[in-house]
Amino acid sequence: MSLLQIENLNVDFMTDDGLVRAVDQVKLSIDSGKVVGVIGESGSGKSVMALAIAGLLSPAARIQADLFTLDGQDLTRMTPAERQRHITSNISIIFQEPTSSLNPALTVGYQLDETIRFHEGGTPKQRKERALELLSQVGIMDSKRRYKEYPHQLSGGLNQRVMIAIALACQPKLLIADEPTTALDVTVQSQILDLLLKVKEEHNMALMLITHDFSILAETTSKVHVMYCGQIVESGRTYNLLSQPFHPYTKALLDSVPHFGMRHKKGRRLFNLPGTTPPISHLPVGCYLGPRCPYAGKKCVQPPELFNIKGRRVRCHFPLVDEEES
Amino acid sequence: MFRLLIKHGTTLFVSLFGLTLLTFVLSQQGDEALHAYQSSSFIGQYFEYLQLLFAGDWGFSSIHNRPVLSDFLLHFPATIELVLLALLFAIIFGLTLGIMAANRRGKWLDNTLMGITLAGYSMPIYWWGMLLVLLFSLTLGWTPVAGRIDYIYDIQPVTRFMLIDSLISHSQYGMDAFFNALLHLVLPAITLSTIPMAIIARMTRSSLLGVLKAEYIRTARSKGLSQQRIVWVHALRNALIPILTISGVQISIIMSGVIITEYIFAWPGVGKWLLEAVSRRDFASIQAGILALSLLVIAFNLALDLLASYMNPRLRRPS
Repeated sequence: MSLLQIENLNVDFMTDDGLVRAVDQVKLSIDSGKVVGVIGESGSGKSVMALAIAGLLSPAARIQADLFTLDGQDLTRMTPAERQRHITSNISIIFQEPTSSLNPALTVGYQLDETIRFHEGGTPKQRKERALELLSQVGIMDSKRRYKEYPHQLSGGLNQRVMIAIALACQPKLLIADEPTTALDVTVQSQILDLLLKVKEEHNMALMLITHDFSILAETTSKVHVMYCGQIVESGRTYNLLSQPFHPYTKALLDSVPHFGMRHKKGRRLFNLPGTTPPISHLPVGCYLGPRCPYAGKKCVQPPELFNIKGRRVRCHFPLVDEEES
Repeated sequence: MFRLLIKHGTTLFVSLFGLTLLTFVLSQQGDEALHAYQSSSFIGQYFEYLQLLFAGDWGFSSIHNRPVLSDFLLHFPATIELVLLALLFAIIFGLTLGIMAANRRGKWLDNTLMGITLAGYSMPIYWWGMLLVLLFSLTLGWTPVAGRIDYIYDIQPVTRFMLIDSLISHSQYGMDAFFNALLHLVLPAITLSTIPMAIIARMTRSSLLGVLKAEYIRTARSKGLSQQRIVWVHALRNALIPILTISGVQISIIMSGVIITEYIFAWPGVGKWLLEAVSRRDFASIQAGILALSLLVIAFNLALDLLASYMNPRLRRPS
């Protein structure tokens, strides 16, 4: 049974342009202990979706879902307070900017300690031991010194480790990492990714990795969801999806990434879709990719449903499946 | 911490220099010379003036025929008492109102509070003080009209802070004298604190609302902390830093307000004394009064700066 199951999740915001749908009919399930990736460009709704799942959106956002179960409990039937409690004790989240995600006026130790106090309790001495243990678990050397320091005295990589330690202190069953390495150096990136996978194993958590980097997904995840304009346009097993994308958008995304060893021919350019991503307040009729899609046909003025094809879900009228194979 | 002291020490030194230079020039404006200086040059006389100042010789009042220092020591505690209480009112109520408004942003309470603070901010305090006297003293009869304490109480001046003196003069009055002194203090303190309170309230609200949007507040939410804890520990600690800085400016507003307030309530403090000195061209007293009020401003600002850097670890140097 899935740890997290979501069907038809919609998130609306009231803006000056009227009601805007930032997350549209998202269907998602995460099994415990698995690593799931979400990829999409900036503004595709992946962060809003993550915040909605973690219950961190502002009250201005309207969240609806046909089904939203977490650890076997139906969140749609709970009062807001119960829901908040259930979510925070099961889901932890870390963000893109580790340094601004930590309170600048409080020490690392304090911020860790209050988390332990809330979730585990214990005497001050026990809590401090636990905190130091967590800090060394996330690979922080001289944890005793760091415990007393403030976030501005630590590097971005160290702060992200602290964020992970704080997340672990909540003993979550699901850890959401919202572009955890985007703001970090390349070498630190791989360390943080390795750390995330390590603590995921040790604590038997599920991990939802949000990124816009295919190489990260290929290394870490077993399943990938591709998002465009608030919708999931394709989901499937990572290897299959990356080696043979069915959705034109997934293919376009993959084609726009330079590969190592790519032949450089004169005049040859990386593929890019014509036009730009439409603002979510002015989406085209029918398929949102329609006007930019090289494979679009007349049918594409109708909004496509999610189709199940070969163990994958694709939101497209003309998925790129070889006819002979199917 | 050492660097911090040096930084503030430098500021302190420069402001003291400017201040004493100003009062020195003022002290030379009287009809008769304040001191019989030995040096003939301006700079030499300035240094002699400084020496005398530190030695406690602040000149001789031409109208009271007394050394200025003794007059000053008589009036200074009353002013400090009033200013401290006003500052306390301004900070406590300013913060509370600001936090209440921020917690209910856009609701009727927020709008009402912000309306009230805007009114308080725009109120001329001499008029506001008289309105308060009219309502609470004359119509309702809750508080006395003026002075520090009723004359039936015979309080020995020990510290010259009336609240303390009335407490320690364990005479036949018991707590009555203390409450009487407190009642005398309430209206002037409220009058004096109104404008700074309004400013602090508005400042707290906007600062808190800004901080509540920060990413670390989102982190605190994700940890499952209660709303109270998020506001009081995580948000307020950061929101207080700019408020502390702005409070330093409030001190000077209070100091200029204290002169008017003391006059309205016949409060025997430095402000009233200074006003009298100005109207009678007693330059020795004027320079002493200005020096005293300015020293208070500088001292409060220094204390607030130190407090702000204690609150803001980014201003502290890593040790």
